[in-house]
Amino acid sequence: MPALENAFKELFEREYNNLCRHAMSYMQDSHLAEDVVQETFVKFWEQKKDLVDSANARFYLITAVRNNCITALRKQNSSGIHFTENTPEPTPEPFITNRQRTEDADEHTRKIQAALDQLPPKCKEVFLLVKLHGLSYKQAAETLDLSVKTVENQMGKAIKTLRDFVKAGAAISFFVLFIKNILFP
Amino acid sequence: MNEQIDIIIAKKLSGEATAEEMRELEAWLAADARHKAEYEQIMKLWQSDALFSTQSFDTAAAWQKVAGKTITTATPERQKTVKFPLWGKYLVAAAAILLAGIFIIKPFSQTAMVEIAATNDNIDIVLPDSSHITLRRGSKITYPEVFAGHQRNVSLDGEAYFQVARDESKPFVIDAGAASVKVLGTSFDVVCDETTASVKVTSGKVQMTSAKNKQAYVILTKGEQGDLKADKLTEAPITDSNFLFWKDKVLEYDSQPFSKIIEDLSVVYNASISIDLSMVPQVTEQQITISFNNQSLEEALDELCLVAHCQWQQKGNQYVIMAK
Repeated sequence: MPALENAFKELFEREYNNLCRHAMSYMQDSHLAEDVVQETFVKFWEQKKDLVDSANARFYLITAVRNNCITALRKQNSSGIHFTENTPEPTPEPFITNRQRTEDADEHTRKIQAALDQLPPKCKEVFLLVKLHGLSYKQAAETLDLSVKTVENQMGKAIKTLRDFVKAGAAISFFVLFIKNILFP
Repeated sequence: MNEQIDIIIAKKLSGEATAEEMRELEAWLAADARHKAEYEQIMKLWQSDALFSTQSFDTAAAWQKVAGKTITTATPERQKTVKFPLWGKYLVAAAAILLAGIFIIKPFSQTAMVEIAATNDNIDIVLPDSSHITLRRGSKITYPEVFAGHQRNVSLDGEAYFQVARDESKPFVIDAGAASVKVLGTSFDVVCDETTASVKVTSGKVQMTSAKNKQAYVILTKGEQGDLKADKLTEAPITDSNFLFWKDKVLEYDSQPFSKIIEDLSVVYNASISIDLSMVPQVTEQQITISFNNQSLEEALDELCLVAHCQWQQKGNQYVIMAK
């Protein structure tokens, strides 16, 4: 494969999963999320081929996926069709070992994700860019057209949610311990 | 104060905190034992993968679709219409069937090989059978575009982490220089060159065979490593829990001596770190539980010193850890 095609393939393989996860946060449906991301890559190749090799490719793709998700959602709403998640639970990945979780740990994961989902949209966006894509505050600010200060504040909000979650967890385990001590002194 | 500290914790975890903010965080942590416990739990959550849906998408299948619309689109040839008499049509049909036969058989007889070298950075590769490979910088891997035949053969020079998709009917075989590694569906790390090879298994079962002497093999399971050195094949439990640092940039320590952590940091960051004589053994030999996730050496030292109650200074190329 020629160099540019190869670089495009590498870029795709590197970013596809994270971009899909990002798109999922908007589309709430894995098929739609994948469609948007694939479409974005096709357009990227048609229009921005020369960026494939550059460090900006990622930012371009992240921004484009975000915009395309929003456009897709608008269209969906105006056409009055509502899609719901209809894909079955993904089968557990057999090859990921350091993530083997027990049943209740999954419950834990679900809870924390639900807590994060309560965050305001702007905050979620900032959090996705910084934590999921690993952008710096400055890069995230530029991508979302915000000030770095705003990014700082939004990230603080996300951490507050995590802290509240942790605190609640501590309170519960303390309570369990307390009950245990009463019942089985 | 609370809002401010959340902002600082966020900056710390994202690697954005200034020295001033680090001091503020330190003061806050020291003010109350509960703060420290909270902080550690937040850090754990942050470093876990619980924060996002871990759903994974079929990158290989998606690539096929996108590649079809991008890099493999040839400009369609203009169609010519030629009229044939009726008998001609049958002839054309027969010829078409014959040709199709040739084209269908052809691709299987010769499979193109793909060679990938990770020159600047680690590379994630998805194989045609959707096995995942992380190829370490400076390593090279070769595999066929299609896994035809009864085995999935790849060859490796250097180091890679494999997450092999399960297919019991088609064993996955790695030609790893001095050794041959055979699996059905597992995950493990391989380092190899012409004369030595080392395999560390993180899940499943792996058969490691000496390339020179096919009779010599070991079966490794989760948490075990096999080493081939000077034509000798040995197996042992994995002692270095951080052998995937090259890939994940994560170091985890559970009650390890301070001095060992310093030693490791100097190896993985390729830096010279020394412990100043002002340090008392109570500090240098204390047991520490800490993890570093994708941090710079400076950030790692900041964190370690915060936990171990000491400080560090940079003198030229040298990092010195000293008492507070």
